[in-house]
Amino acid sequence: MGPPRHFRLPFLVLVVVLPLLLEWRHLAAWGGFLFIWSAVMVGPRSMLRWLRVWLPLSILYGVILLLFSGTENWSETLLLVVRLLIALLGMQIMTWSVPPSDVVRSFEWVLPRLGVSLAIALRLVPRLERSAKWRLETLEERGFVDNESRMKDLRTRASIWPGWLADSLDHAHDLGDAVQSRGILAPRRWRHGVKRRIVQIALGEEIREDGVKPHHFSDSVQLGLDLEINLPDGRCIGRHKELLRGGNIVLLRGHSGCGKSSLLRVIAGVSPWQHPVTVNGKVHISGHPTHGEINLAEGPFIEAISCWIPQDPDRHGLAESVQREFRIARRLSGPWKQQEMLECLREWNLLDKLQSQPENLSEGEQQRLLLAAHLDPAQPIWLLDEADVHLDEAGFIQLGKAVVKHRARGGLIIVVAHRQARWKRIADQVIDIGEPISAQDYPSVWIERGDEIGQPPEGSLFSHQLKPVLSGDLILVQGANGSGKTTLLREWAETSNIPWLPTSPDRRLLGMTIEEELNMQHPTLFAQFLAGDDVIIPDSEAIQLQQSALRLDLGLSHLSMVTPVHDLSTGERRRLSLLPLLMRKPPIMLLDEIDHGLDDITLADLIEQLNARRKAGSAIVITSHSPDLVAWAKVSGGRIWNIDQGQLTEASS
Amino acid sequence: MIFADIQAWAGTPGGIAVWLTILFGFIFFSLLLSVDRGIRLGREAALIAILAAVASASRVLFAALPNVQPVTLLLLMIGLHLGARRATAVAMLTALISNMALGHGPWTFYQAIAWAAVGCSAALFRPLLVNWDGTKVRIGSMAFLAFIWGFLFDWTVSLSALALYQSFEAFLAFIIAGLVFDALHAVGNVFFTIWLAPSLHHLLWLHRRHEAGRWLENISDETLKREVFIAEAEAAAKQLKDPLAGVARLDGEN
Repeated sequence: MGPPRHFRLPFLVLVVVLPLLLEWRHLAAWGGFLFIWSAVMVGPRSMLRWLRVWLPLSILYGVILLLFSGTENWSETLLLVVRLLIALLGMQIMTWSVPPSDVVRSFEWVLPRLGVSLAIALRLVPRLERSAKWRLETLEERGFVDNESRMKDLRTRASIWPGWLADSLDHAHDLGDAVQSRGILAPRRWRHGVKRRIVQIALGEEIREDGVKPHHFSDSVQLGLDLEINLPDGRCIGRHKELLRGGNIVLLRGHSGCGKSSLLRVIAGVSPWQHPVTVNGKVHISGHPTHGEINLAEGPFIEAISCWIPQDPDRHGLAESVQREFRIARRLSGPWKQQEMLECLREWNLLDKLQSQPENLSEGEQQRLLLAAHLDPAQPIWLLDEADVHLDEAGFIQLGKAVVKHRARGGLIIVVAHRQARWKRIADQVIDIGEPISAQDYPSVWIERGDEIGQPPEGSLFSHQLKPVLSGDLILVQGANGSGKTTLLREWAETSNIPWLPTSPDRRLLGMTIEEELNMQHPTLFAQFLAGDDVIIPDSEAIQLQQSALRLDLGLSHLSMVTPVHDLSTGERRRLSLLPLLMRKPPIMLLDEIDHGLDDITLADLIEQLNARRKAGSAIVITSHSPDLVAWAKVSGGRIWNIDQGQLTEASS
Repeated sequence: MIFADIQAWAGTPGGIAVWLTILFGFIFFSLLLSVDRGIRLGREAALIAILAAVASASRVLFAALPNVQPVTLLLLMIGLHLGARRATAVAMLTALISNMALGHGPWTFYQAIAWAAVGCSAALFRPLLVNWDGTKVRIGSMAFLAFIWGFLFDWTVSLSALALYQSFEAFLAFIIAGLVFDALHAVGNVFFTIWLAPSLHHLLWLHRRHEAGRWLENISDETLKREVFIAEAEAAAKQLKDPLAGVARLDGEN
């Protein structure tokens, strides 16, 4: 935590002003002290890195001063340069010693909303730098760097930045919705001070903090929906007139991209722009602990009106530490106690992650953190948008427990899930959006194994004694959250130089619109795009044909070419990012959480594609938590690998 | 007597640095206060945050090239689309965040002010910078403004040298020595304008379109009419008497 922030102000004045006033001897002593201190604090390497930038610049300015200012007194100029350098070092020490969260807190003191912005921005800068790296990595994976022409290479690299900007703005919308729906800009609820407590004790009153106690909501919670969901062409794909009552678990089902998430966004009080559907109608909530009756048309509201767990944890995490995530999350139930947080973390098996930064956690752990922090028992309505996708078995059971507990409390839980078989068992009500989906069997085929085509990586991170991967193999990697499934795929891709598909589609999308994205999926297509219609590059037509055939197979052909990539649903983006991988026909296909964001029918189609690839001699390696996929892998004669603490073992089937 | 002393001191380089800083600080802080009160929605706060993060990340990514970075252009576009106040917020956050990586100093404050001024200028000259309906950006005038700001920005930031060295000669030397870097900044701005301005404009324009919202409060008349028709038909069907009620069975069952 460090000393309070106002302790640092005199130090700031001191480090800037002192070097300007001191004489040579004292300056040397002060400078020496600062150098030793910073070398101890951040290590000599950071010190050298700092010197490498600022020493030449200071010397340069000294030389310029000597040349231009008309003084010939070089010793004075030298003194000036040394003063500058030492003042700079002092300020650098301030940067090194003040953790960003302190800066944020002091900001929130004076300018609270800008403080929230600062907190988000600080968290995002490293994320954006990483996303820039992913883009370059994607370019390399698609074979763009082999271009002979330097100019063309540069132009290709330059063309990915508008996509990066678009991706960032997409983030802004997601984050903004998270801030909005969680009521982060609302005034804080404070823990009462000693004075108030003494008065309360003296008057014999019950001591109450300024928050809402999770209570029995009984029948008071009701959600009235009178909605119509339209496609962009005005065609209605669903009309919902429902009265949902507290004490129920409601399961929403529907095809990928039919507006389930949009419906949840409406109820959460954020506008449903993300997907190109329009939602018309009225939503009414009654029984909210602070608002009472809410007509959502009167929004947007500053305070949170429901607890909304959006689709991708990666895009909605805000805080730079686990504790801050809790502080942000539990706005309605007021100031949380340390003990509550620790218990909650223990329940979700995250206690050992207390000190780690959320962005360094794996996706499953991030999802668990999001659920642990944000499932606020004081909030009567919980909206879970595919909250179970990244969770392992233990996490899923914990989520089930939390949901059932909330139902017993009288809360209303609305669940959107593609793997809904298990949810169906505890759901009290099932609502279908669009045409109801029949239960789908995943197509399974028996494929003869061929020659050996690879081995999983072995080294400092992973060890194993597995049989080699044969052509036609189907391998499903299992393991708890944070056991390193994604790391395995990444390492494998790197060592064997084959492409892989990460869970988050953003890591493999480059363009701003679908057309741009399709053009950037293959170097030849990009060359054709650059050349224009006059010049025809020989292979491009064949590749284009192959691409459109795959688009048809993956159910992407109906999308308009000018649609911005970030207007697509998660499932659609995921399939779009899978296209270039299928086009390249690698010997081993590494797919991370292949079922994420896909409905059963789409997934069955995709699996058919994968089966065809296996017949053609590729091996498929997938990671998944879904029991359906595990069953499918067993039926298809696949191999199941378990991963635990870096040890890969083959499960006997 | 004391007033005269203060007056004399205000004319010295140190004095000028102090009152300039206080004046700028006053203007800047009042702007920030109004921005802070102006942010009502989460989406707005997040947009400001992400634009600041993008600007800071791009400044850090381009740190290898001296004084070439797309922040000035980004702020021009933000001022153009989102107005002067939000540009001020982004400017302040960008200076703060990017300098956490590149090094803080008295210049942080002047950088924030100068970038805020960049955003304000774009908001002011908006009619000259976009076409008649605001759907396209005029690259020529934008590049010109960005070029001018390449120099103006650096000179504003150089005011921090006045505070640091407290001498006019040093300040002048600082500006003359920096001319090459200023030119690099200006040329870089023109380059970034040509490269990124159209797509940034398109993006921010899309953002504004999205902000209009897609949730319409009323269900369309057509749907309501259809529902009424279906409901009436159902009710009528229920009220309908059994058409076969009075007909004797003729098939000889009884």
